[in-house]
Amino acid sequence: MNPLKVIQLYKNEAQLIKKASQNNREAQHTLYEWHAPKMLSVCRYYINDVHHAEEVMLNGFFKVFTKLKSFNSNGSFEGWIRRIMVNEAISFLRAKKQLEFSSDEIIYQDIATNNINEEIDVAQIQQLIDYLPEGYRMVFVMYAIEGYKHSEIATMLSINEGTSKSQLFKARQLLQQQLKKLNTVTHGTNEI
Amino acid sequence: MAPMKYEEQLKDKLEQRTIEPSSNAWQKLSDKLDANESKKNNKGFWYLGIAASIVGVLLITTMINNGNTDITEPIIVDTNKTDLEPININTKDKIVTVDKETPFNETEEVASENNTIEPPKKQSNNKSALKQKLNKEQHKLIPNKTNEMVVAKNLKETSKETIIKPLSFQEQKAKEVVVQIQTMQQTREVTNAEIDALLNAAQREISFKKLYNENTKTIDANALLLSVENDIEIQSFRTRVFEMLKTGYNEVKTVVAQRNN
Repeated sequence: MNPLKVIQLYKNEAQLIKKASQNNREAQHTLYEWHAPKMLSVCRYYINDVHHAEEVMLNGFFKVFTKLKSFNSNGSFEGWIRRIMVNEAISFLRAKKQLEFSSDEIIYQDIATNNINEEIDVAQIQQLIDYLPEGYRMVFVMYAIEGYKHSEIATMLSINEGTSKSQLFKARQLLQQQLKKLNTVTHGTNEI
Repeated sequence: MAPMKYEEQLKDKLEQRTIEPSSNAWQKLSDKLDANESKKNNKGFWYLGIAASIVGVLLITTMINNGNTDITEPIIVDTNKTDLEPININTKDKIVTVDKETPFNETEEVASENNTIEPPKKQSNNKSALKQKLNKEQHKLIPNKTNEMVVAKNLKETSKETIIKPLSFQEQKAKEVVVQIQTMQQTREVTNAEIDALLNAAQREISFKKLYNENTKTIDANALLLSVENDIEIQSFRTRVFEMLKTGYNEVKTVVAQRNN
């Protein structure tokens, strides 16, 4: 992207945010149009049902627009929205009592670092994540996809850092198994 | 725990993904935002309404307070300018009438008591005592002259006339009595009973004057009632004294009679 265009976009976004914070519905709509598809995808990481994910996303945007005045314009707007979405998803899962973290003791073993097939569909990846139990899935997405640290995850989910690490390890184990299956099905072998 | 290679691949693929929300999603969000804003506005209106009502109540109370002072103050100013003198005259008239009335009752009582309690003395009483008594009675009959003079000075000429007229009648009566007694003294010695009789006659005339209104040619019912009640009280007192004297005399009589026995 042309750097000038990026600057232009940034300027436009800053203006839109200012207008949107003054309850300008058009500005809010534009911001929504820009960010909603990405944010729905983010919500979908955590929530199996796309309708529920959309519900969570709309609740997240509602919070975004009602608390827009508290947004620090120095940071990334997308990052701010994204964090709100993740929190909304956590709240949603908590309300549904789907968020459970198993406290089984685990033995950390080396996991094979296989590559995934280049042809693997994003829908298939989502499917792999969907298979994970809620607790594993949450920590895995937050750590591997969102890039949060274990300490941050522990705070956001109100769990110990150790629990966060064990959840991630188990999620990885399960994913490896699923990937092996997928590779064997598509290529007849686990090795790519 | 370093991110694994496949995880980065997963991340890249997932990050590129976008999911279009349903067509009515924005409408839902917009409606929700509208509802929230109207709620906020309503809250604002409520607070505004409460604040306005408080301010209104305060204003009304202050206005009422101010209004009271506004109403009273001009009246004070008006009275100072115009109504002050007539009001003063009226109050002074009242004072004068009160002064006029009270001595009559006192004199009536004193006179009647003189009639009843004091037994008729002999003519051998000296003249000086009589004069003193006369002066006393005269003083009682003529209401507080000095006060009236002070009051009269403050009044206008018109009001002076109205006040002096009734006074002059009482003075005249008192003077008449004095003159009569003096003339009687010139010829012979005057007894207390005679003086009392003269004073009673004068008082009766004055009280009749009080009761009878010449202008309307009517008798003041309240004044008449008062005078009658006074008479009754005096009579009852008189009879009581006679009774006491009678019983005392009888006792003495029986004691003397029994002693002889």
